[in-house]
Amino acid sequence: MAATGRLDSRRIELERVQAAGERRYRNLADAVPQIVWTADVAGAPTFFNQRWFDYTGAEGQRDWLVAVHPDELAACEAKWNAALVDHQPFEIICRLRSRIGTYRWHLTRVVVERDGEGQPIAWIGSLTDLDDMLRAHRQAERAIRIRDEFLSIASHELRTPLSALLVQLGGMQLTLRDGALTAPVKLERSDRKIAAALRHVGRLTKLVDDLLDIARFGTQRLTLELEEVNLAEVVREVVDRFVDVARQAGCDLAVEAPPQIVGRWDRTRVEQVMTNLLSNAVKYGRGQPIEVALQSGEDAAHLSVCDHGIGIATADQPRIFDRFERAVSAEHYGGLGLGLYIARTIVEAHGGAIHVQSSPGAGATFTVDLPIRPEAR
Amino acid sequence: MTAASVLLVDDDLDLCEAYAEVLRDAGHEVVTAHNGREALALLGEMSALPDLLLVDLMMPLMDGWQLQQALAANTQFRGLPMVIMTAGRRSPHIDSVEHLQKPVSLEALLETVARVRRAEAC
Repeated sequence: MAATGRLDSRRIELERVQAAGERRYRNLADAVPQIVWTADVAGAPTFFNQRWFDYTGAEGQRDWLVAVHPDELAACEAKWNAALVDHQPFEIICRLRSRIGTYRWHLTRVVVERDGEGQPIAWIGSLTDLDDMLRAHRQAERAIRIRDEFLSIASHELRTPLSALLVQLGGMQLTLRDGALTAPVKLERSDRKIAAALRHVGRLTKLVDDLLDIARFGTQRLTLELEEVNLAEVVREVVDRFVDVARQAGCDLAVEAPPQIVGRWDRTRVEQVMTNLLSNAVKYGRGQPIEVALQSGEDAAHLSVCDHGIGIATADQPRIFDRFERAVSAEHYGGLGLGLYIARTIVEAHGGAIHVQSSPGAGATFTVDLPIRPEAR
Repeated sequence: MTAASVLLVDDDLDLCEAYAEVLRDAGHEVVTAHNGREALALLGEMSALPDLLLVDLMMPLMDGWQLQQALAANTQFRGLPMVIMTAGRRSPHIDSVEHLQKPVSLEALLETVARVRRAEAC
């Protein structure tokens, strides 16, 4: 009797240890952020951790394949069926349906559990959510591609005025060395070439300034130097500077503005906004008229630049104000693709807003609303 | 040096003007266009075709390659000597044609025009 009692107590002790082991095993499975499941050697499910039920909303012990996206189901089934025959572990990336019906990418790893003799006795599967990582990876890849394209465009853009400068300087040297030319001819030609060379240097400076702005905007907030500015005067000045360029492009330039709209703005930065908008209007304006209008509102000034050129597709409109973005190919239209991003950054630093209204082939109207007293905001 | 008549095609007005000026200073005759379509229209109006075309690659409306195709497809313009000017990266395509890499030095520009003119005269 005493021996039977000892056996009973040993069995009870064994069961207690086993139950504790089982509990610990399940607690461990619930503690990890992954979905964990087990199945018997034939593949019938025996356990799912809490994460499985929380994520899928599934009830009962169902096969892990029930949550797999239809597009990856056949591949998952094939791997699982092959593993059940050859008892080899496998990995597969698939989308898993959540309780709200959305799918997230998961890495599935399935390994076989063996006994002391190496015989397969069960399966352990884990599903790790990769969705955020994959999305971040795709975003990073896109950012790198856009940056690389930008660098290529930037180098092209810098080369253009550099080419003009190089040729003008070479021409000036030839002119000065040409023994057949009279002094007045040399003087007249050199003077013309110096004027052109200075224009090219101005253009290079503008490009370098834009590049510096981009680097600065990426790391720090734009600091404005606010002063009393007559916006009507600024607008007319910038329009005057564009008259020749617009004429060469075949665009008539009309401006409608009151004699003055005075507010506190950063004059140089506001000029920059106006310059970038007009430069785009000329570039994409297909030789059609351009209208600039300035109006005074209750507590803001409203500026609009309207062209009748190629226009912008609705789908492209939200991203044209982003860094490095452009709606048209750089192959066909030059420029750094920074103008609208810089304009938006400046306008927003003033507490204002910039918008576009456009449709392909019907031109584009850019509207800028600038609060008269930005610091009051 | 033999003077050449050149049709210069570049969408960048500054650059087009700079090239035209130095070519004219060197005694060449220059007509300018700002994209492929303008160049085709000009060619159609010319009583005598130019000796060569200096053509930028990246241009709106019709780029350098499209202009090259349009010329090849036209019996009247086929065979017109053409030099591509590009600020872009080198590629096997660009290496297969007569081209100048921007920034183009004045010497390279004048030398290329003279060489193409001589080859044509032979």
